[in-house]
Amino acid sequence: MKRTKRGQVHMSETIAVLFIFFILVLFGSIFYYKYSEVSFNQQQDELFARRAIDTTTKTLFLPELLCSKGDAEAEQFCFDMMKLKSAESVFADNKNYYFNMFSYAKITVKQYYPEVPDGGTDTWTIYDNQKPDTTKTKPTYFIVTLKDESQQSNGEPTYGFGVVTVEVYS
Amino acid sequence: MEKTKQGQIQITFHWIYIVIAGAIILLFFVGLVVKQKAVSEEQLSFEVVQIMESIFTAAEVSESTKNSIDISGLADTEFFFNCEDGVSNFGIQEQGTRVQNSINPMFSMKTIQAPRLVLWSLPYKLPYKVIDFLFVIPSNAKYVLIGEDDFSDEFERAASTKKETDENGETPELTPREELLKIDVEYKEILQIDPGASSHVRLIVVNDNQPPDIPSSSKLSTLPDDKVSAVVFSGNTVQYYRKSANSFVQDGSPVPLIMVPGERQAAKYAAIFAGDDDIYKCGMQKAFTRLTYLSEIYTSKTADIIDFYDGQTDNICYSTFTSIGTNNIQQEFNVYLSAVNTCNVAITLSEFDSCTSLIVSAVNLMTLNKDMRDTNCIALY
Amino acid sequence: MRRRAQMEMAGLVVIVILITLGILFMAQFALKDEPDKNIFTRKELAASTMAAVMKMTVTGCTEGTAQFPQIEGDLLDDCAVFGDVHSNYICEGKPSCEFLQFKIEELLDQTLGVWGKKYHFVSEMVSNNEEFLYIDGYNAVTGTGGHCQDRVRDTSGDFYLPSGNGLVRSVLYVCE
Repeated sequence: MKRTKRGQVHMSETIAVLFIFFILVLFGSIFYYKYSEVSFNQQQDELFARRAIDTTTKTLFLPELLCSKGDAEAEQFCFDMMKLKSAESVFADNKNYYFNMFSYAKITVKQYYPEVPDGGTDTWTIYDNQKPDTTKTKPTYFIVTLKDESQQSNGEPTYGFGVVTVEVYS
Repeated sequence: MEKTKQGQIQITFHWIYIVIAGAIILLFFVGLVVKQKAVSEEQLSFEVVQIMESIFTAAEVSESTKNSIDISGLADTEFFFNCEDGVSNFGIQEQGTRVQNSINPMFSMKTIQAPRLVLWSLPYKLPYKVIDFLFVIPSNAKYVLIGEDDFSDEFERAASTKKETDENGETPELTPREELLKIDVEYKEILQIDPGASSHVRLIVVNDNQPPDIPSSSKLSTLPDDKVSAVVFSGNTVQYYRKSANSFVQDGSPVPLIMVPGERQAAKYAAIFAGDDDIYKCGMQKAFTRLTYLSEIYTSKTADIIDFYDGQTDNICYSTFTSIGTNNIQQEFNVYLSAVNTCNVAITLSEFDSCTSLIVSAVNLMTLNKDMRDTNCIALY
Repeated sequence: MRRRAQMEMAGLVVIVILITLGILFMAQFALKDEPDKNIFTRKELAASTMAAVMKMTVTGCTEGTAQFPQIEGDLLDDCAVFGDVHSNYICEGKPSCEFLQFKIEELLDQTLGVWGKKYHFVSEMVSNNEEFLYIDGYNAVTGTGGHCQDRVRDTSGDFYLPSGNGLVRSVLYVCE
């Protein structure tokens, strides 16, 4: 009787040790899972942020929009209004090509100065490809000059003030 | 006696139990570590490739700039570049991770293993800016100019970031940043070339028909065949050569250089930095795909210019450039557009020779555009 | 027997400590906020904004030599030379300095101000550091704007203009 009781105590001890061991393993697994999840989300966020910056950079230096002078030298942070007006249809007609460049994103250019009279266009959506099941969107803004060669004075074009907004979808 | 035996069995059992449990636990953690190591390596290579792609994007759009990136932490890593049918691949050798790109023309050696990379961006103009070319140049590659002409002088100056001499006739020293952007370029006779620790030696032969044979006494002959190559510029074509023992053999057929006159002709620089004719042609194919779409924008701009001056009969811009006549921007652009489309189709079939008419019409368009600009008219670009 | 019990107690305490540490460690990860990556490149924003403002041309100006005077080349120069005393340009009914003060503030409030950025714009004579144009864009309605002094700020870099009254330095600071 005495021996059995001792054996039972031993057994209980072993079970308790095993129980605690498995509890620790379980905690470890949960911790590891949680850590992986957080680090995966972090990585996704980083990729998303990088994509937003890449898309904005590409937009700001698009030969399809950039102003040029002299020997085809690019004017930084400047969009040519004549090109801008036709860019929307060209980008839409060649969707596959420009999707490889911008992926899921929306690029708009809004003119703030000179003010457009009522009924005139002051916003151009040059690229719009929204992700159907989008979960996140992040807009990035940049200010650009809008070169209008149809308004000239002594051969010099006028420069307006506009904003380019690049929204990327995740 | 009986009790002692039972005790012994119990102790032995305990030990076996401990050993088995310990081994299982150890195996579990060893497995976990091994799996985690593989996952981490894959993740690391993915991140490296992604980050480098971002760096390339930023470097490429910064027109006419050179950037240096320190990759000494990845000195043991070999990167590969290839390009086929207008799609380039870039990644780490013997790893699954790679990025594909069908837009940006990148020109590089087929493999790169270096402590530093120089990223050089030049705009490709035909005659307006089409796209920026990015040259990925390992710091341990050596470029040797054989023969001399205007282009070789221009290239040497541009690549080695040489400064103009000051009023005392002395050349100012390069700043530490400029030193990092220096590409190893020099004029040398073939016998004098010392490859040192170079990962690749490329000979740039100008105004010659064929690269010289490699004397067996030269240090160059000791380098493996895949570490030495040559490009030969004859007129407006480039021919690639690869080393075979002590001589050079042709690598592909001559490729016409499609470019307009001027300094810093990106198409010619690209030929120097491309690993072989396939990488070069593939990069040019990307540029021509873009040119086709870009030309649609300029078609529309041409129409806008015509509309703007329409009916302004007393305006010199109307009478000289937009009214029906021999020097009409619309006519000139139509000729150019037709040549662009022909060339784009031909290039997908690797028939670069069909693009020579495009060069002529691009030069005509360039002249007309300059005239328009000089007359204070709205220019095409 | 008592000693053994003490040891077991010590063992239990160790286990409890380990579990507590584990839970704390997990909680640290679980409660961690999602990293909000600030993807907005303020430095580039300041530079591009300043470049756009300076390059902009103005319509609706009377008098002056240029039909569409440029902010930097014409109006800022005019303001630096004549100050509030006189102006060669009258734009939207205002002399150059007053017009610049009004228009730059309006445009920057519509953009930087709406995006929640604070900013200040300064134009000064290099010779004596005398500020003749200072715009901090405080917008009482939206509560945005305000100067960037004593804050972590990004600068557009100096824009120099050789005016008729000496060298002018203009700069735009943008901050959160």
